[in-house]
Amino acid sequence: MDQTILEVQDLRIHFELREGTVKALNGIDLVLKEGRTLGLVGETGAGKTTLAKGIMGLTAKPYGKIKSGKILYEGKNLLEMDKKQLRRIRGEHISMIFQDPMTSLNPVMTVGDQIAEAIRNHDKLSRVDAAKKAAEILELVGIPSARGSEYPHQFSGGMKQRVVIAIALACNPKILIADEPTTALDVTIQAQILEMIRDLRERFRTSMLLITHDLGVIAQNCDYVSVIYAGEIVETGTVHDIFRHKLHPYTAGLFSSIPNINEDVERLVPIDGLMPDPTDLPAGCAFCDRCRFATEQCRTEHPHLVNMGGEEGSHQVRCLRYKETREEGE
Amino acid sequence: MENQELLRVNHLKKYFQTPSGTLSAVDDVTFGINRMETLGVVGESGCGKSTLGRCILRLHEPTAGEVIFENQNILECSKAEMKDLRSKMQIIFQDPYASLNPRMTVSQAIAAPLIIQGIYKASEKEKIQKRVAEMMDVVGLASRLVNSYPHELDGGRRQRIGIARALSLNPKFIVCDEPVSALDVSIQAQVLNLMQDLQAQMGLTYLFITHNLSVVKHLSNQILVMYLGQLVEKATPKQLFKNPVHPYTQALLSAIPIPDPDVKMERVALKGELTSPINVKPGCRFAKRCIYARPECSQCSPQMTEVEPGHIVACHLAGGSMK
Repeated sequence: MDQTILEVQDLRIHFELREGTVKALNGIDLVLKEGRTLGLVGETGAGKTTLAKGIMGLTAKPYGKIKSGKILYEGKNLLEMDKKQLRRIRGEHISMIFQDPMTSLNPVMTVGDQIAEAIRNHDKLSRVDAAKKAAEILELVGIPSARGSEYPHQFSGGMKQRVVIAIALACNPKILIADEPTTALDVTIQAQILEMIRDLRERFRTSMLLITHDLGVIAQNCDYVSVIYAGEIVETGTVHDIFRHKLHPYTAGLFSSIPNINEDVERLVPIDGLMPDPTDLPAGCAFCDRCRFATEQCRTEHPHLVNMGGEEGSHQVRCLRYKETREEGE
Repeated sequence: MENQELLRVNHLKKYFQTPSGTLSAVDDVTFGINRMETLGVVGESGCGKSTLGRCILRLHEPTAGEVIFENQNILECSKAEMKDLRSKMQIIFQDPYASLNPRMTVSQAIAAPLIIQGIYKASEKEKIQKRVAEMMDVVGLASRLVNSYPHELDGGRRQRIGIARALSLNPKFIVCDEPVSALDVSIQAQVLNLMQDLQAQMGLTYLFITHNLSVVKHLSNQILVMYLGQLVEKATPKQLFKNPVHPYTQALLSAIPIPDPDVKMERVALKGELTSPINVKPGCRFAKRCIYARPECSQCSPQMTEVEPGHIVACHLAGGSMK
């Protein structure tokens, strides 16, 4: 069994606004194993990005409040670290690729300098050595090192995302958090970028938390999957557990909503309704209003994650009626 | 076949003059759409698919070519004639956040086209309200939202307003410019189903522009693949997904991540990125990225060849040594 490198336990992050409290994360548990990729799927507003930023210690202040929980990196709780310790962790041990490559680069700094900056923040290298290393990393992500002296606006979207990845990988992190790294890109470029991330990860044995709403990207890149809904993990397991033996009605709904490229379906089966308002979550299961299995019990009793065994004994589902959904799934 | 055709586009061209030269956004595109069918247009960003959709409605004035709608070349129509035509030809825009006036309520937004087209006078409030209520019902918007503003609604509902606006004039033909790209998958499925139902109920013809190949396969009767302003392949979904002939189509299809962990992707390598559409040289525009490219590919432009009935391809190697 692989070693656990990052573990999130019962993480709750709320945003306290004048209009009310947005309950963005409501007790998230997550395990990332060394050298593996965990996919996090969910819709807009489910809390994917809040979770990623929470792990990085980037929860927006002053509204964002961490209500409870632990984030254990190699056994140490990141939430108890001071700023200085966190700065060492960020970039060197855990780094992040943001969704939008267009806005995550500094427009008035050459890309080479931006990579060198990340290196010099963590390693005691001279400017010349850092520049040399930056050039190497650029080549690694498939950009000719001569382009290091160019500015972000001279690059296309796919190339910019390569630069962002180069910065994230500059210090050889153990964990890479990729927040929708290819959503803004065309499929052909997406395929190139994902392939590159895959190669680099194999080379450096980087563990990755891949956030996406694209089930195809998950299937092709991840070992484990967690499905997030209204700030909770509703189902988690190996990629086979989720794709072959999905149990939660929401997971099933996600699959039936996308037109499958390999099958002909006359009509899609969407999930009716919308995600509940995060300032006013139902007392019971957060999915109950959209669920065709929902009973009175679902409306009042909040379900816990139940272990269902599965491929590696880690398949868990948060549903009171998993017995019925399982029969239907098979 | 011929009289079934609702819309025909002949040799349509749209060039933009830029400081660095001529940008050929749409270059010599020819196709037809049959009544009550859906024609899907796919391609990467920047391939000219949105420009094509807008040229058909004359939201951009085409540089050359013909757009024949119900046996009439609409590019020769006067402004007044064009205005009448607009009630038959409508568009649903990509971004439901940007395409609605933030200061208009749902009912005002849906009523606007009715008043502009002179179906009702602005003073006929009751009739307008009745029609608005009807349209909201058709697209599945709850009647309590009638006085809401766009910022109070989520993306799926806003896109429904866009659809209601387009439909309120009983059009025959609708250009759908990435109508579901900005929506979450579960909402996307709701909107796609709605569009399919409306097509059957109201006898609509769609030009469906998207970069999402699985959506296009799901909806279309015919698919056009565009690359740098040109048509590279046209086929039915079955033909295209079973037997993609153009190397670009092959690369595009093989880049879609398959939602099945046991099917490994065999990607057709595609070198580099989209080349610049400014001052294009003669020859196949895809040649630089094509793994099969031969010297003749960069000398003259490939002609459209039919590889099987209804399946046409613009590639020098089509029909022969490819595959």
